[in-house]
Amino acid sequence: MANMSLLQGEVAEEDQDRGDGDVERLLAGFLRALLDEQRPQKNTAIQPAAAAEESPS
Amino acid sequence: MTRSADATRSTCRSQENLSQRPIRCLVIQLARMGDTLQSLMALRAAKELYPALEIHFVARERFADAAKRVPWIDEVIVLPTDSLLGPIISGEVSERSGLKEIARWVAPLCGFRWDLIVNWTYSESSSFLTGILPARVKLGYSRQRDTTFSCADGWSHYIQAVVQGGIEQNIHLTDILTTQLLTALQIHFGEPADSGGAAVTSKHFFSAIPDEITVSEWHLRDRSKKWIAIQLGAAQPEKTWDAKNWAKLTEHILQRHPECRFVLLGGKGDQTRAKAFVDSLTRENRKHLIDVVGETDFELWARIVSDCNWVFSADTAAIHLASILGTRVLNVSVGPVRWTETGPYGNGHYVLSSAKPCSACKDRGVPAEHTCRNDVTPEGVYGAWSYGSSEWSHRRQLSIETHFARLGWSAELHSIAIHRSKIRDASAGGGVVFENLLHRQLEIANWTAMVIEHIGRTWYCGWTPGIGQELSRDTISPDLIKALRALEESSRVMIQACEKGARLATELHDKSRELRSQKVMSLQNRTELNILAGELERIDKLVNQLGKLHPPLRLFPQMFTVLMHNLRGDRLSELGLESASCYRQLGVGASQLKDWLQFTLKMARPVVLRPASELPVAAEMVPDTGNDLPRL
Repeated sequence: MANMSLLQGEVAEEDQDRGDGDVERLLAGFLRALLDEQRPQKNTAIQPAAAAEESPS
Repeated sequence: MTRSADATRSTCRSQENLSQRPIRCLVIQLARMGDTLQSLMALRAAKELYPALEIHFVARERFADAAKRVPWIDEVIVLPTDSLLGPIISGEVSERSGLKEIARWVAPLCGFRWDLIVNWTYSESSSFLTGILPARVKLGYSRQRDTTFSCADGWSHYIQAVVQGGIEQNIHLTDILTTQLLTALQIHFGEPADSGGAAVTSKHFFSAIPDEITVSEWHLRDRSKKWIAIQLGAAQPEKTWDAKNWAKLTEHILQRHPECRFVLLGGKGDQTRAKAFVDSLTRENRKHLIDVVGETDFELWARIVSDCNWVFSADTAAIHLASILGTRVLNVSVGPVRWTETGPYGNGHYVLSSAKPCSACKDRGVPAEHTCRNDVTPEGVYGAWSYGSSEWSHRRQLSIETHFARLGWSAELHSIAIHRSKIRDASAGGGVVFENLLHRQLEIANWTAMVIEHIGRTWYCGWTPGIGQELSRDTISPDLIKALRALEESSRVMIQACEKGARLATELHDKSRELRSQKVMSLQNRTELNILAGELERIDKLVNQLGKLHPPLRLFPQMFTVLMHNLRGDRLSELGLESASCYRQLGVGASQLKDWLQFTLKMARPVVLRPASELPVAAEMVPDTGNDLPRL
């Protein structure tokens, strides 16, 4: 039996709580990632290992 | 609020939403044309079942044309990558000024809260965009407010750990996207009014193309002929098939099938290839070719692909366009391509690939020649196409080996693999499957890909067909049996590790729940928690070691890493509970793998030929797969 909580996606609750600083950081990340993707030969897929490095834990 | 309570509340809200107002859905697809077309196919299925879906589609400028021609897409939002990034890259403007431009582009999308954001790009940049935009539900990669990467739904875990993690599996991406979206719609917005079943591919997928744009050489073609489009090139050079090979294939077809004519397709960057192709044709055969390389916009390209009987292509967007439009595809899949995930979608398409190992494909970091590009020969491709295009006469009662023998080209079969696509019946699990037309023995990698497909469906579909229903006894080789036996013990250990992990994590939850503070606690409590944490760490190491030791088990450590990264709880007790759920999920997968092992090994046992009166003995020894098993 599939785990229903895993199928529903992220039910966002924090969007309203975000400040301008949060949005600005995300925008800067968006721009930087777009620029990185323009560079040839860069593998932009998010690998599990890379994701783990970003983990807060 | 707990996740399950939230899900229930969402579902309750959903019923009113479905009847009262549209479901405002933003789809982010910042990848290339092929991904855009696959997304459109998945969206078509969702729109059929949920007519209230109001679809807003974000695409890059260069790849937005396809979405703009789809009548049921409400809005196409173009990301003008060149004008936004060009001045920054050239140094004309600073990154800070560029940021203001990006903010101006994003602002209209933040004006209200979307019901659903579906990020189907699966890239770094798209995860930030998804993180910025407000929505009730988000699917795909996103970012938390502190910019931490987040991937909340099961199918996205699967894409991150398996598809992008380099593990071979057999679920087509179009099927993954479709199932992911439909399941989320069902959970949050209720059951669809209709049970579906309508075909998602159609000659009328795109809105009618006005006549004036078809006033071209193509418009004036001889319509009594059967037209074949050849799409030259591919996104990467190693995925292309040599232009001279395409030309030789064309010569073979024109020599034997005078009713055929060719149209050559490609972008502006394919003009050198086009010249090499034309130069390789005889003067007479050049008369049977229309060359529109570098001259087609999306409308003309789609019109030509739609009008043709076949599209021949390496790994390009043309195979997805042809799939959408219901034109048969012959896909020459060379280079590092995973065609089980991105091959042509639908019934009766052919995929040709190398049957030999290619070191350049296997180890992509090492520069080496892609021998797979030469293993697939024009004669091999001709043989497969002539078999496929005459299915109406032999009704596939003739084996492809016999067909090649009649051509005198049996030797060509040694280096190639030929697969034919088929949409499975819903009772058999649904989705597209590629049947191997050649009698070949199953390698452990193919076996594992079948198992991982089954595990993925079990985790995220909620129902699956029986184990091994697409296995056939005569494909099980002694080498496979040896590899499976070597895996038996480790798969058992993997199950035990997952069970123990779930038990320890539950214990961690129970113990930490009783604590008043996570930081200040008695020495005894701290010691007990440390012991539990240490034991969990040993389990994690064991899962990793098993994955390193046996490639078929690599799924488990990679999925574990992704699941652990996406734990949501803040408190130790919450993390313990969620970790236990992750171990249980892995345990379900490991048990499935063990069942496949046992099933396959049982199927491979020798069956003694006995009189019909004693057949029950044989039936007991061989599991019922629905296949005709050869008897020894």
